[in-house]
Amino acid sequence: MENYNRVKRWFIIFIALVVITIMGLTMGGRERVTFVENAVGAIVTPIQKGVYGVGSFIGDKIRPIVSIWKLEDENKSLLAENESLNARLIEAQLTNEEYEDLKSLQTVLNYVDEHGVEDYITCNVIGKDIGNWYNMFMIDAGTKDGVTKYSAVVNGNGLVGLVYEVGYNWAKVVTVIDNKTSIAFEVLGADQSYDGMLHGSVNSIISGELLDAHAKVNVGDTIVTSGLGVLAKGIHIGSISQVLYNEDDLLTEIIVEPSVNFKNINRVFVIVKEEVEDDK
Amino acid sequence: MISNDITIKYRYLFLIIVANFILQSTIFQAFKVNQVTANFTLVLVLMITIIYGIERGLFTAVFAGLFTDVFLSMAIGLNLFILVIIAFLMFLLGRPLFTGNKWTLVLLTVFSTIIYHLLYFFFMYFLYKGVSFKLVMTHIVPMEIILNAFVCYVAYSLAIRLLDRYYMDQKGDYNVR
Repeated sequence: MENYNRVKRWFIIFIALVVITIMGLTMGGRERVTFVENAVGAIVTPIQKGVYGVGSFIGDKIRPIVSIWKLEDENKSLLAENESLNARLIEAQLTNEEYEDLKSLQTVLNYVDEHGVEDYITCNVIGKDIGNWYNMFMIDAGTKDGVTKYSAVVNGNGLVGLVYEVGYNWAKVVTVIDNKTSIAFEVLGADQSYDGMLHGSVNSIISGELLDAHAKVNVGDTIVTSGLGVLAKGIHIGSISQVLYNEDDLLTEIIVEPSVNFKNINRVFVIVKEEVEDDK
Repeated sequence: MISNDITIKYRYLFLIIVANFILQSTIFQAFKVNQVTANFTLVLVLMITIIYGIERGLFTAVFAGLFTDVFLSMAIGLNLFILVIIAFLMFLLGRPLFTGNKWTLVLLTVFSTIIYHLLYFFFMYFLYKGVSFKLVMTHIVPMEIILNAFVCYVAYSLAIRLLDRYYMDQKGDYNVR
């Protein structure tokens, strides 16, 4: 009996060590998931997709009731935004005419055209994270649709996150407000272009540091991806809401207001990351 | 003390686990308070261990943890490991302490929620970067404790009423507590 208990104790310790090792190995996301996970995902995800629709419907009905006291303020800010957008639209129309002229010049001079984002997949959110530690969700597209790890996930407002792990017909996405994500960014609207790194936090605030210690940026300047790292250049992230000068580190820190409303994400686009071909 | 006679078939328990995962990742997301949701999986493990004992508690912890880890977690084994520890703790402390008083259950929920986050922080500290203990303890844990306690209180009341009715139909005058 004593031997049996000893064996049992060592067996439990062994299992615990195996689980901890698996935890360490799988942290950061795997390149591919096992066939068992794919099989379970193939059964579970269609059900989730249906039930998620019901959840979204309930959420959409509850949210306006809960935030009814905010509506007046929101209305005022939307009216102000509308006025400013109208002014910018006129400005943009003028700029567009200049752009068309330059584009025709580009064809005449036989310039090499830069590739835009053409290869993307439209998909639905089918589940959101269960715990409260990070912001993660599931989408109904996977390897069968061409989704790869680290593909950018965007919606109409801007960058939502990155693909973390991919199954056959599902994928896990980590949002930019998650504390693990680090993104190379560029500030638009400043006198010159400044680069830096952004990261999320547990309380869903995106902050970052500018690489240039003497960078002069303002509240309201637009932040886009810089193209360094895994994300394509020019994806809208948000705007600067606060500028902090850290004298100890000689760094300019910024707090970013994301352009995406993470409380209400139902449909997203996955920009498929181009695989680097070895034979090139 | 809950009667030792009551039991549940593993296949039904598995269906409950799958349903819990699907509902928590979809419909229950609509009921976030201050961006925090109740941890229904933790509440399920706690209740199953207290009502049905350690074997069913461990079964729930392993499968509910695996589902969460595979589809909505940063690492495989993280939730599984923590939920198994909580199932053991509930078996060692919760089951002897619990005499049917729902407020004891609420206290056990508070205790297990704190243990869950302490263990989560412990693992994340080594696996992750930039985790702030203060932020987690001030932004997530207090609200989750309230939500988990509320869910556990309501779910236990419903479960006991259903079990009482079921066993009364089966065996006549019977009380599961």
